[in-house]
Amino acid sequence: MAFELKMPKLGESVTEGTIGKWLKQPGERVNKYDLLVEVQTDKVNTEIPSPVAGTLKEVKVKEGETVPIGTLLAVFDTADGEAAAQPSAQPVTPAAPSTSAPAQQTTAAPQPPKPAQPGAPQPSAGLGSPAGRGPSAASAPAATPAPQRPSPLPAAPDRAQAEERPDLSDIRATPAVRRLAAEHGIDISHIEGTGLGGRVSRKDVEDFIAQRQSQQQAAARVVPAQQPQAQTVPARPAPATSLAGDELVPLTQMRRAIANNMVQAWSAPHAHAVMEVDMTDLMRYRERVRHEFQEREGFDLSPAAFIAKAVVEALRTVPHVNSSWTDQGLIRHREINLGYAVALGEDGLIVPVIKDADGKSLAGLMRAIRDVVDRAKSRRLTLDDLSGGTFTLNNTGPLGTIVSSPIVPPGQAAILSSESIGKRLAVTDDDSIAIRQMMNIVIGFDHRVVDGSTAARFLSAVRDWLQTTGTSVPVY
Amino acid sequence: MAVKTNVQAVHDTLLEEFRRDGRLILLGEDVGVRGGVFRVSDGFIEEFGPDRIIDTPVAESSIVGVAIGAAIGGLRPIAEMQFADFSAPAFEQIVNEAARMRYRSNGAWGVPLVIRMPWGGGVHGALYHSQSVEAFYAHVPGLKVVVPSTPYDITGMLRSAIRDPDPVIFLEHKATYRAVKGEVPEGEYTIPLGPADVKREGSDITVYAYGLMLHHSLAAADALAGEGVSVDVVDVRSLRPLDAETVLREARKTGKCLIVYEDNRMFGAGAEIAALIAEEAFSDLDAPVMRLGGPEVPAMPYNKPQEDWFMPDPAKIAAKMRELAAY
Repeated sequence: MAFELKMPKLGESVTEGTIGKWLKQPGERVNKYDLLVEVQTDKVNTEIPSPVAGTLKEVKVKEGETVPIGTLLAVFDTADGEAAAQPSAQPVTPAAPSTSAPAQQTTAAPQPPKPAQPGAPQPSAGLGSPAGRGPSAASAPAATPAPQRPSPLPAAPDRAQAEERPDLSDIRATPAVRRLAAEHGIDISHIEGTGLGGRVSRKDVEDFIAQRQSQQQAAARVVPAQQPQAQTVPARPAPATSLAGDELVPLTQMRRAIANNMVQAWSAPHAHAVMEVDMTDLMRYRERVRHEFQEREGFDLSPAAFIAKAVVEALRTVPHVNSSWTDQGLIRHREINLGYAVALGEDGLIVPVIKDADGKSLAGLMRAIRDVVDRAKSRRLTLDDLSGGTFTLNNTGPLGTIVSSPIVPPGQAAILSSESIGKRLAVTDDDSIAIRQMMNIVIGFDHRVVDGSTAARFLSAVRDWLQTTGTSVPVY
Repeated sequence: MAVKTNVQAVHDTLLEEFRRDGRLILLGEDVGVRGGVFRVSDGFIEEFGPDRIIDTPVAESSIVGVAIGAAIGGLRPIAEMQFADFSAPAFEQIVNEAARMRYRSNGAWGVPLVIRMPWGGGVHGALYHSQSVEAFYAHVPGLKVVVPSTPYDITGMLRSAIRDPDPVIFLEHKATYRAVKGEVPEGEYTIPLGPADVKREGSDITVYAYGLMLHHSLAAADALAGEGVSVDVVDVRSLRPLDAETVLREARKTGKCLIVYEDNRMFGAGAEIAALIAEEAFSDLDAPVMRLGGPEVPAMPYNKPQEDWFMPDPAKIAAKMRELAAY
């Protein structure tokens, strides 16, 4: 009996996936749990295991194609195998995340991806969006999947018959055919092949060209060079001018994902607030405990751990910041899952999530930070690492900035940047002038969810913790 | 215009050249009194005497070795290997001496020597009288290796070979000696050693062949014409030098190439031609370059069923042509 494998949901807020490589070919025997196909999402690359045992009959989506969740990927013959009871394929531990913006969607983000029927008309991504900014990118299957087999306008006869045999016409093209097709701007998938297994031969292309020239109507069958795939980034007239010596750097999956995420994030009205923190006492305390910590753990106890702890405590104090906007209402999260932005140089950045951050000691947070940073840099994060964030910490201090304006990840209410710590002249309470280690903290918040006073309350809570409790907090 | 067989063309051309140039000598086994086992030098010893028509011992290394010395000394020797199979003992003289003399002496000495070799199978010659040796020699810079297959080409190319200042391996397919006939014009025309020749114009597939396989391929092309497949047939008359220009031009014409040769398919001349096409005409190819060659068997079997199985024939070639045309 036949079993249909559909594109599984590969994580929160993931609405589509790009087929990387089919690890099994049509006709091949497949055991249950055999790795079947590589799928890239804007967050991670993963491999989907076969949910059934049987024979892979047909592959419906070509390598390189991006399709929404729910799209039919492959058909199996499970004649001798078990019936597919639970068709939901779960991704195996992904090899490496390919991306993410500094942004984490929340578990509760109401983004039910609508499984699109392959071939069915897609809702236009741009309709009905307020402010003409385009819809929230991840909430709609934005990229219309390339039609599986666009049929030439004049309905091809014997289509059903042609489907009987393995249709190789669109994947096999000899160099001569490729060249000829490219020269004449022809999509060979629209030519009926007469070669072996339906292959489009050079002669077929030549005949097609001749036919096209002779009858004008036939031109309709020609599809111009493929349209650039629909992007979730709204297409705008490129302001870039082209200059001599310019070089086009192709978009990586990560770059594209960051762009999509940022555009989506930008749909939230942003506001920012800054507060100064006197870090002198805390840094002193850190000096006292860091050597023992280093000896015991093998790595340094960085200020980031203190700041993370301060943020977690502040979220407990001002829980309103730990929530998400939806049209139906604000969702206040009980879990405190801290996104921690990790810069990956030119490649971009990624935001792994430290789950249940409120259950961790200072040492526990330090270990967690170190763990996700290491794995982010070695591209070993899993889908799980990237989902479920409720608030994001953006520790820009090591970069040397003193003020930044962080963008709130979609699905969260706020983000905090901790800027560089430096010695400055300060006037103390007793009116004397002292040299103090100062740090700015910046909150970026979704003004639909959080107002200025709440934001300030949150910043104060962070500041106060760092200036008082933090200076003697137990490491373990 | 006279119609001759291939062997007559060899005989007549040699005879004319011997009459034209007194420096020519012929060395080989049974070339004198017997007139050659294929009657190529029939009557020569009577006309030119035993000083020019030399019956040698059964020792190919000395036939070629002596011929090299004679060539350096100013004569124009023609050495006959009674069967190409027997050239193995002369391999050292041919490859290590004749081929290198000009290079080794910095151009001071050349070896104007023609080594004629009746080659190929399909004559019930079995293991020692059927071999294809062209790949051994075509591999060696310093040699020319030519394989003309019609009386016209044999006449023109044998003249060129005799007049060439360097060693030429002149391969004559023995199965075509009497089976192939053709017109040969009067006069002292020559055909340069190198250019290939399109023996049949076609537009669907291109087939490259030489020797007996050329004629089998032409026969197969006739059969395919009846099925609506237009076959282009290139006679690769010279393996070294190889006419890359013609090979590639004809490859680009159809984009579908087949090389037919009776030598072992692996590492044979067809491999070189296929590689040339793949390297230089890649973007014009509309099918994988195909080869039809001899099987992986150490030598030609003797009995007819097995020999037939071994040899590509028009039916096998036609089948391969259909496969390529249908691709």
